[in-house]
Amino acid sequence: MAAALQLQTHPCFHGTCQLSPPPRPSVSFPSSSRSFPSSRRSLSAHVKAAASSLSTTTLQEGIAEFYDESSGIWEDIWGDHMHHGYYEPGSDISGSDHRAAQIRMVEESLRFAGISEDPANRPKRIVDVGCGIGGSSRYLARKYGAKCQGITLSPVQAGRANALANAQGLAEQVCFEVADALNQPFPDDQFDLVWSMESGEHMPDKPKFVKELVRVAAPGGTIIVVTWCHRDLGPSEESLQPWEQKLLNRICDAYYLPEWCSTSDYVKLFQSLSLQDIKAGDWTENVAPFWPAVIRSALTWKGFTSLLRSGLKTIKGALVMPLMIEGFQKGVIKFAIIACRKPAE
Amino acid sequence: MRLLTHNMLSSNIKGVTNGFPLKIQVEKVVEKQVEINHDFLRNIFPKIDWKAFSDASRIMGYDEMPEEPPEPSVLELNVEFLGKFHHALLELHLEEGALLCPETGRKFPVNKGIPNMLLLEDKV
Repeated sequence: MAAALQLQTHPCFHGTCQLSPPPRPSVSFPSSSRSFPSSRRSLSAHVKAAASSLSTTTLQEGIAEFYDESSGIWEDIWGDHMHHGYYEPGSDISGSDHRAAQIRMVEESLRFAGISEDPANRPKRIVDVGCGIGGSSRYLARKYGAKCQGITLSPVQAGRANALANAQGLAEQVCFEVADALNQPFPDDQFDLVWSMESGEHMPDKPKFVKELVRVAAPGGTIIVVTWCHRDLGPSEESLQPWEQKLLNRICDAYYLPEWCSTSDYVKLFQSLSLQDIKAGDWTENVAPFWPAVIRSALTWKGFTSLLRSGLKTIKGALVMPLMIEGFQKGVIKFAIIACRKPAE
Repeated sequence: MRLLTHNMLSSNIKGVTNGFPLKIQVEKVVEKQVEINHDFLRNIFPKIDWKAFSDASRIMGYDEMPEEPPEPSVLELNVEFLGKFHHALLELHLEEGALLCPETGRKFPVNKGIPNMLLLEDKV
């Protein structure tokens, strides 16, 4: 898969790999150290295969550890929705209720995708892919009276999500497991609504991620992906400009993100799987006020002391926040929504 | 992990044709009371794979669920049965143990009530 090959040669990937000691590769090498396989190319292919399997496991561990470490501080300051708020473009949000903006993000996403409010047609079974501490899951379960499953790589988040569900009387309706979005532990065709709110950025294999979203969606069900992308490439472009790539690499390294793709890459993936009513939106203007607000919160006494207590991964993530602002301002980073429907049988 | 959750999970190992239901290996079962909601139970009943559910409840140490699924009218009329159904579905928690792929036997651990369904690269 092109994405996987790009992944293990990607500079930000090597940075992440070096953080933990590499396990013994599962590939066998020639017994004599002086002999080489018949062609150099086959040896490097073996090494690349070992490196790419090494990389994904290390990425998953990095993601899990990042969220294990930083979930608490985020929840403390920003609440149980671990995603951007939705604001009026260009608004001054100094007095804003950010939690309300985060709720608005959920509502605008449902509206964009055309989810029905009609009790007969509302979603009854929902999956929250990359659920964090379950903010979306609990909100959607309550809103629609639906049953919601959430999956996350972080055991700390799954535990917290379940505890919050129990505390809020939603224990029958929502539950959370540690699982891989690229290998969801559900049979096919299960969910009326497949929800991925700001988790797509972490997926190292976008085609596989999209394929799994489609697999677990019920016939006639809706898929909603809200995620960070890079700008669409122009017709003559093969890749981003080097300065753009460099900016993204620094962000990747701090947030345990693999290679970025564009909004139109997602659209093409859904098209290739014959999804219907595919819509894509650019909400960059609506989230731009968010990062300065996050930075301001980090600079408050509470924010600052919490950061110091939280750990290096969280601190590193915090230090990179100005790069997100730069990325948005320079048009490199886009905040995208993609919605579509799986054909009914 | 409640049995309601167990009824929705399946093995995601590559090449497995029938990964449902996962076998349950019990180390610790905990009972946690939760308020009964009759409408919820009646709505969820048709969506439950009954055999998987009743087998699992026996493994968890509760023998009150019949092997054959009851008629829907039983849920409408028999409040005592609804209570037992509620207990088995929502109040029994596998706190520690494992879920096993029915074809390969591969273990997915359950710790502090949370199933870990992650696969290592070689199983994908």
